[in-house]
Amino acid sequence: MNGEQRVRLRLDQLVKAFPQRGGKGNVLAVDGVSLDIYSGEFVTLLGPSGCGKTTTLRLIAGFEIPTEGRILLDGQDITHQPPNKRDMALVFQNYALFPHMTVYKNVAYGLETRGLAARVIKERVSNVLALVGLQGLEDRRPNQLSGGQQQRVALARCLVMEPRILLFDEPLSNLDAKLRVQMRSEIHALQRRLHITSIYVTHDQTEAMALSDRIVVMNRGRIEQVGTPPEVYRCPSTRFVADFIGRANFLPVKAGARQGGTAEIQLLGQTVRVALPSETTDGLVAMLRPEALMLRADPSLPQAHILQTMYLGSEVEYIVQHGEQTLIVVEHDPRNRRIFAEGEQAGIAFVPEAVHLIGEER
Amino acid sequence: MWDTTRLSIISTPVAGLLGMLIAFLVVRKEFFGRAALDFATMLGIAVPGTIIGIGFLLVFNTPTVWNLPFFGEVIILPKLTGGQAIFGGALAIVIVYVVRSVPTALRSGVAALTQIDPAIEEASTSLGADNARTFRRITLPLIRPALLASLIFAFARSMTTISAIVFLTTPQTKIMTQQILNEVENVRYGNAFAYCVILILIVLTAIGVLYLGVGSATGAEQTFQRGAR
Repeated sequence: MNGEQRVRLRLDQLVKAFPQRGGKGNVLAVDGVSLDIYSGEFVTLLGPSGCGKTTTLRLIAGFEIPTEGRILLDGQDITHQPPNKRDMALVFQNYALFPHMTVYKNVAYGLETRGLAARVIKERVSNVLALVGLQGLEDRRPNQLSGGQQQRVALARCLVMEPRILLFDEPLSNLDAKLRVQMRSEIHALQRRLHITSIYVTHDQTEAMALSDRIVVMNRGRIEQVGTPPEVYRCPSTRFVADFIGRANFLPVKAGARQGGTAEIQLLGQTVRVALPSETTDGLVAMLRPEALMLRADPSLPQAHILQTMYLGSEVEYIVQHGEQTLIVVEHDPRNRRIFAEGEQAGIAFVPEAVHLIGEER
Repeated sequence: MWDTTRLSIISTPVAGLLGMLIAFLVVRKEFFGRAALDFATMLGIAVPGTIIGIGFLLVFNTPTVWNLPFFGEVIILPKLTGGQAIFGGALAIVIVYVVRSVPTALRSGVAALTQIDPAIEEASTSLGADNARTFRRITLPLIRPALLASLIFAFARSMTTISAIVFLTTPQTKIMTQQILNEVENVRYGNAFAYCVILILIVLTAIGVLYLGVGSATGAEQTFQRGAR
């Protein structure tokens, strides 16, 4: 992100409380979320179900009113503005197309609501249908379309409004795996081309990584970390983030003497110098991604016992026992490398640069 | 005969649309008194017709007058029942027709609405439509079969109801069921049967007209002749 971009949407200490079932007290679905989203940016709200990401999106869209906090769109307070007055458009999880209208009518609906001239509507609708590759299907009804086509109509219906912010609520979760990857790349290409500020909610971390400029990882109504995909993958700030984004091995370590924000640690028989996450050197955990670990037939390395070997074509996945620890090791491109069998012993090594320390809080 | 048909024609769309609107509010909107509104509407069918008729007589036989400061006595609601009432007592009959038909419309509307994903209406709102436009352009077309059912019911019920209006008919409003009853009481069965046949024909014709006018399909049904899949 370059620094000169202006803030399009500002979430200021948003809290949303829902009354608990049974009437006793409240549940905080969103608990003090503050976030700036810049113009033209693609931001993903990522987290497990019940983390508050969808509620946050519905607060932004105006379908829920926050219990506390403010929402600012281009500096203007829209916290209490009804959803139809907000210059945003939402792509729903199950598309929510109007089943009694044709594709053309579905896409034209918003423009007709604005009261534009029929000629203008016609032109804009046919432009946007061409953009998403739906020409020739104007007269179909939603139930005559495939899942991918329905998703495109839902997208076209929002794009045609040229909203200030495009909102996505898990739009790809109803598609099959192949189509999901294809639509993902189409959304990516479209967004980069049109530079529409987009907020995308998903629980699928690959989707988040593939699409986003920045990822907002949420857990229990709070933001755990905000960062670019490489930042959150390589340098997760909490154990939750490390675990949720990709897979991770956690090894407790003792840090040696502190030296300007870094310290030496002993890890799997090696000494490495790494950046410290906080002031203290107590309770640290080293995070190693499975692909940062390697297995070698080298008796001089610390030995691990292979519990499970899974050949996946492009990679081999091992589950190994090292002392008390069970570790996941992924070896990419196993063509020219020896594949260890279950029950064998192997030496375990790692890429020193990939070690990332996390403070063991909670 | 014409009185009955005319009053039924007036009350039918009012009952149908009112039922759908209340169903929309009850199912989709969160507001204080939602359950009370649902309950109060259902009273129209829970309370026996004669009780409703007597109730109308008791309440609406005198004009409702409020004594307001500065304005003096203001007639809020004129006398509704009896021969000298407004529209010859027809308004009271229309109201009774509506009250008796709205519960069915409400229940069929509720049943239809719960089948429709609320996200469809939210999508409409998200695209800039207000509640009224969403109801008119999205909700109402999608619950069209329920609307048709409630219109048919409302019309047939209005044409054939007797208990609720038996106390409300006036010399100016000759209601068919009331006249059939008169003929029967005077042992003129032939006339009574003739009225009955006409009544049945009117109801059947109206059902046909409603099918054509409202339509039984939402437009969302699969159309096979296109061969899309």
